[in-house]
Amino acid sequence: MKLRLLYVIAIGSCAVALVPPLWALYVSLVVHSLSGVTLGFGNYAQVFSQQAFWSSLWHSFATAMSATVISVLFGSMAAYGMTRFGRGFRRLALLILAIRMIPSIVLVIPFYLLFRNLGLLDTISGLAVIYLTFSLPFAIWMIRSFFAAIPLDIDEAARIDGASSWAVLWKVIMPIAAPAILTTAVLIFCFCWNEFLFALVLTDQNALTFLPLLMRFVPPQGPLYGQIFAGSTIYFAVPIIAIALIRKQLEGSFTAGSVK
Amino acid sequence: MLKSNRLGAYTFLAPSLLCLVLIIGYPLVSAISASLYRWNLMSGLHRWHGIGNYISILTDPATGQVAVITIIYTLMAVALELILGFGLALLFRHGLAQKLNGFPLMRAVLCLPVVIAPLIWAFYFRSIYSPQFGLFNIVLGWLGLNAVPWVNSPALALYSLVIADVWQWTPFMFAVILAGLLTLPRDVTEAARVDGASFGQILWRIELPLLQPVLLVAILLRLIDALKNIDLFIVITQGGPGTSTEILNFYAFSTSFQQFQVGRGAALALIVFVVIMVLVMLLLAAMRRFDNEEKQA
Repeated sequence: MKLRLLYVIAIGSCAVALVPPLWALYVSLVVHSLSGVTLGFGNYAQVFSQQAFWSSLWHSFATAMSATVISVLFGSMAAYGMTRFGRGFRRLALLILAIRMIPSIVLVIPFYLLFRNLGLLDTISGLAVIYLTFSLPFAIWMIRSFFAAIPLDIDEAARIDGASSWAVLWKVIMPIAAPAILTTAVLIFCFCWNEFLFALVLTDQNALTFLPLLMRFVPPQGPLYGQIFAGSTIYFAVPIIAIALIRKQLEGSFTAGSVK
Repeated sequence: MLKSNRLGAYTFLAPSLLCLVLIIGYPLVSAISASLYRWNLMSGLHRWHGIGNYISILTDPATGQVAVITIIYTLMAVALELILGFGLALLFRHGLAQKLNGFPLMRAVLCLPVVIAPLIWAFYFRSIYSPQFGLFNIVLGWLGLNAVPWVNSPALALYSLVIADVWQWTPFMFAVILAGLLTLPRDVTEAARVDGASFGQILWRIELPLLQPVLLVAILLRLIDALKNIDLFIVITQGGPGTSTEILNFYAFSTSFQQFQVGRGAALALIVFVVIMVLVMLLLAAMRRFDNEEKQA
């Protein structure tokens, strides 16, 4: 009896969590025609036929990917520097965590003004640089906690064989931490993929990413929900698949990385 | 090797530090400087204003209302997320501890909303709340009840947005608290149970104190994120009806990019910044305490 109640609540809350995405899926499949309402892929066909949809997906991907690669590269180096050359970087680590929390609104105004002068508005590289403001601190913070868990003896052994610090990082530490770094990379990619405010203010046409594109599906008479949700379903499948792939590592690193 | 080698460390830290100084340091200084001008991008006005923007913000009666709305939204959303997330976490811990079928899968399913872009989530709820064809009013219609103007009435709109926030972020609270609960030492609670302590006593006297650092970190993270939430406001209400959902972050945004008063907008954004940094300081202190307790354990 008590067990049944447990299941009812657990299944019920999962169902509640799924209501909004399932509702959107339903709306995306509804097609209004002269003969009434039917289910079909009309909205998907309409979205897929638009050049702007595909180019916005490419812009989102290119921006998120560039920011992720740079963050992981620089972040790994910084994490190595902070864990392998003595103590005393605790303060710096906390400062870096604080930087990650800075609200976008305070950064977006100066970047808008700066990019307007430099001609960087509406460019993928400009947007990717801004994404570093949150992705780089996150990368340093996460990778640092992974590197700290790798015993120093391993470095020592490599050094006795004559490896330089640089070689130790790339040939010894990175391969050991590869799964954890992959997890970090996927999370960073998802943060960038889901970012909206910077993209809305700083892109317009040539680098318009997917989320600000959605705002253009809102004519004065009301949003075109069918097309918005058709596009969104494709869009959010990407992080879902990425996270499903790394779920095992994610559960392990969650307590290690984010709370400590 | 272990002895401090600052120079070595900084060669590896250099790219990141250089990057952060340029992309964080510069904009912050530039935002402060912008906030000291009366500056409108539409009219081209750009005149020194000193702390005038701050004075006019702090003496504007509208600011008081923005502050109240921000506090109601943030506290209400986070409180509900905490209560619901905690309840669900207790339930799932029970299910997971007894190795009941389906609980690991349901744990993952429950976390799905967190992965969806907040902007897309905002469109979900704009559609769900839509007066005629929205899910909620359709269901109310089935039940023979009157339609509710979810986001079209000044009295209700803010609470409707709270619901949308709670719906997406309760799973985050749930995931963090559950992870915390699963790391609690089981021998202590077992011993208490053997001694005849009830479920309520164990929860209140033993587990809650042990869990306190995790709860504090989770609450602060959510407070920070709720204050930064802007997608719901841009998509669903635009601060309206009237000014009933004009939250601080959105107010700074609309001042800067809809009225193009970037000087005043920068001053508002810096106020958001200061509020959030105060919470971040508390968060760092909470994490340090968490760290120390881990070391003792």
